[in-house]
Amino acid sequence: MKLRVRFSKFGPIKYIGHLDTMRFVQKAIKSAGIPVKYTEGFSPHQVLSFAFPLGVGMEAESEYFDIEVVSMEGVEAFKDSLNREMCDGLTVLNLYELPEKAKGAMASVSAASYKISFHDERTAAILSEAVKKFKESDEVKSFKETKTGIRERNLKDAVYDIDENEGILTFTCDASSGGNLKPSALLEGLFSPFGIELKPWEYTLTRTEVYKTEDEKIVPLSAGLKAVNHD
Amino acid sequence: MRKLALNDEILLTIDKPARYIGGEKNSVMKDKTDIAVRFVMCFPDLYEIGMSHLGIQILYGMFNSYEDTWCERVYSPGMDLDRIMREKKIPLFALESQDPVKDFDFLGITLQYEMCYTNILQILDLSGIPFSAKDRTWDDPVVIGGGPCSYNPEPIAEFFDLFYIGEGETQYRNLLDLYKEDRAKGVSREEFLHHAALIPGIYVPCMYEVSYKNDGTVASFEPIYEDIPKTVKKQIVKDLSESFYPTRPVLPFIKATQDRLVLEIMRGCIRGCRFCQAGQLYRPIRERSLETLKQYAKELIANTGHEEICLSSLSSSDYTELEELLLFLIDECEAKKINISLPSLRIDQFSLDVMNKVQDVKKSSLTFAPEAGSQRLRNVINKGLTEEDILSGAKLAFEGGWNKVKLYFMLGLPTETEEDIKGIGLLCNEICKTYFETVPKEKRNGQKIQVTASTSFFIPKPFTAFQWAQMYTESDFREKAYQTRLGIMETLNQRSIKYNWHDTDVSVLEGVFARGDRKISGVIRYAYESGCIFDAWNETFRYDLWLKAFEDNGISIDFYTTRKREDDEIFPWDFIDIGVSKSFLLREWHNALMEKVSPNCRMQCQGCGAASYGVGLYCP
Repeated sequence: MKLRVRFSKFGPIKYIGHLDTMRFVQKAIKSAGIPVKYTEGFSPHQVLSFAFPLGVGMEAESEYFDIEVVSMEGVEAFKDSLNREMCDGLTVLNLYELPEKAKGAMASVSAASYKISFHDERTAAILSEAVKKFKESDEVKSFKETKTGIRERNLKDAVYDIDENEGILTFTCDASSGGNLKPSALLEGLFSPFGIELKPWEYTLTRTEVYKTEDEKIVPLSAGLKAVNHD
Repeated sequence: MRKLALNDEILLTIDKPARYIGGEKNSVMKDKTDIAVRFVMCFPDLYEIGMSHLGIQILYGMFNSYEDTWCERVYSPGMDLDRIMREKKIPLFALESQDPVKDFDFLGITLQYEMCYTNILQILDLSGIPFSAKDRTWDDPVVIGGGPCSYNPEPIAEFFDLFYIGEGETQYRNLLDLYKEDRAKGVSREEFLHHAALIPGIYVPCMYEVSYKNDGTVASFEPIYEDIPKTVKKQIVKDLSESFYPTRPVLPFIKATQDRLVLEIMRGCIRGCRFCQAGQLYRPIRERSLETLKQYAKELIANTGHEEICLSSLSSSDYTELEELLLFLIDECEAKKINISLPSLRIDQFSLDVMNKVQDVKKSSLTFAPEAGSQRLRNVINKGLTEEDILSGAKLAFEGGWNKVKLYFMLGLPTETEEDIKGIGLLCNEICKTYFETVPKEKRNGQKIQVTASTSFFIPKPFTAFQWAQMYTESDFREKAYQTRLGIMETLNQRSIKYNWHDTDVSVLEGVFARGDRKISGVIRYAYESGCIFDAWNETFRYDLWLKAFEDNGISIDFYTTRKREDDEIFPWDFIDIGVSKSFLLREWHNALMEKVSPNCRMQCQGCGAASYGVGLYCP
């Protein structure tokens, strides 16, 4: 029996990297008494997989991991049990029953949306102009250094939706395993025409949702799943 | 949400920002407005090292169980952050509140190894607290040291207001009450220190005066006021089953060096190995009851969700109910999918069966600590292990499917000869031979026997029978390691034996600090100021700077290491009473030189003096 867990991550623990967050969640699952399934062997580990690693420094409103359990008894209370064992800033929002044949969280991810606010006024001031210019262009080139050389990409193909409101940038972009677009690459595409190069600490970055593709539409990873927790 | 002391720019550019943000599960937040005493506990090394230490978890939990006290933590910032903090003048802060260390009432520093001494100065420096206790005012926290190195606090005495001699569970409440009372009365810092010196187990360096003989040894060590005791008596927990235990330990987000739950089963050790300081410091032997341990194990697992648990003690095989405890743990942990990491147990059929259940035989190795290569030298150091014990244990293990053996030895033990050193290679060779005799070729499955011999250099420590011993020089050490390697190379099975040895230069300094006196503190400060820091780490250790510091201060290293000490010499640490008497240690020193073995506590009481506490398991 599989469950998909939706959670958020805010505050100082944005400095806890993906692997450490995962280790922490494993402990929380254990002390919460969730009847999680373990692998066989000398060092059994939980059957658990995160949808999309969060980079150090990024906050998140809606992330996912899948777990396999050996029993669904008392599943309505799992959310509260987990939240009692979480640290400050990590919150379980919902649990969903995942059909046996459903694709795993990680393989499902096709897109993600982000929210960015800027610390210095200069950037905030030209944001609307930058977004306008981006929307009007047919092509915004991005260059990424890879092992085999420099990869060129048209950001317009990777960004599905982009907007700006009162100095806050929101966008949805490709997050598939082959085409994931890093938010920093988009920022470079947006601001380098204005001669602005942003350092990671000059803006606050929040991932707002993670999506899968169903019937050629992108929908949240929880879409179509049945919530099993109270409230 | 908690505000951090470091900004995003710093946290995103340094290594492992998780070291500095606090907020770990089971860390304690309190409202500082209803707190009377703010205590910050420091382990002067990196977070991952400090978070592996049980002692701080005990005191942290105990202090926070007091309503009027809030205890927080601080560790040495890594070199990258150290640089940034100096450059930007960011004061060192505690993890929980992120408030500056200087704002606290107490700064407690645990002294686990000598090579952390320059990091103490780093902590004080970054906090903006004067190095010398005499330069501090009520604007500074009271700086208190504790842990094994506080049993010879003299080399760092200048940097501390107080030392706590003994187990922290016993006198801290009295110290905090005194502090509250004295601060409310508005007494001077000097007066408070005077009062503190009257609490059993509290050593206040500035309340004592040392004079030296012409030859540089101690002539006298006297309190400066009449009401201050001449000796400071080690404080111990009388009943371990009743003392505070941290069943809700702080869980680090990043992997600590020892990333597992710790169940402390007993204190003290019945084996009187003559080189071992811990074996004397923590006497008499006290056990935690089986029922208490079962309860703690359950709580620890429930409160943390940790995937590994281990037992802690100086010699777990000597715990009287070890079998019951392990069987309980195996049961409990199998159900909850928790790994048991076994301490080094004496190898016998029972321990092999247990290991078989909890470890992958193919991957795990067996550990023996003969410490010396020959029976003669093992008698000198009073290590009960015989060659027969080792070989029969190895034979059992080989039959059980093991083929990796680790052996630990010390080089430079008192009376050591070339024969003793050759014995290391011979013993390794015998173990290989036992393997080939025990496991027939067709049963080896293409596996090979692997013996790993590691040597460290013997450093005489205070409160051991060997506190009178002469230490060897660095070049002696190098020669001894070379001889050991040569001895191994000459054996028939040398291709199955791997040899590792420790660095020689760190050992020399450790030797100086271990038996140092107040004259050393100037060298430590000088070395720190010339760039020495993180001396326990190979990549930052600067032996050249240390040598220069000794030279520039006119302090002889040999005086502390290679010099011959007479039986009646007054040692800098003699004012501390650990229960074990100096006359017992001297008797043991003479027994060592006569190659005479002394029975352990369980066999026959040797009258070491620890019986005076009235609680030792085997004390008359």
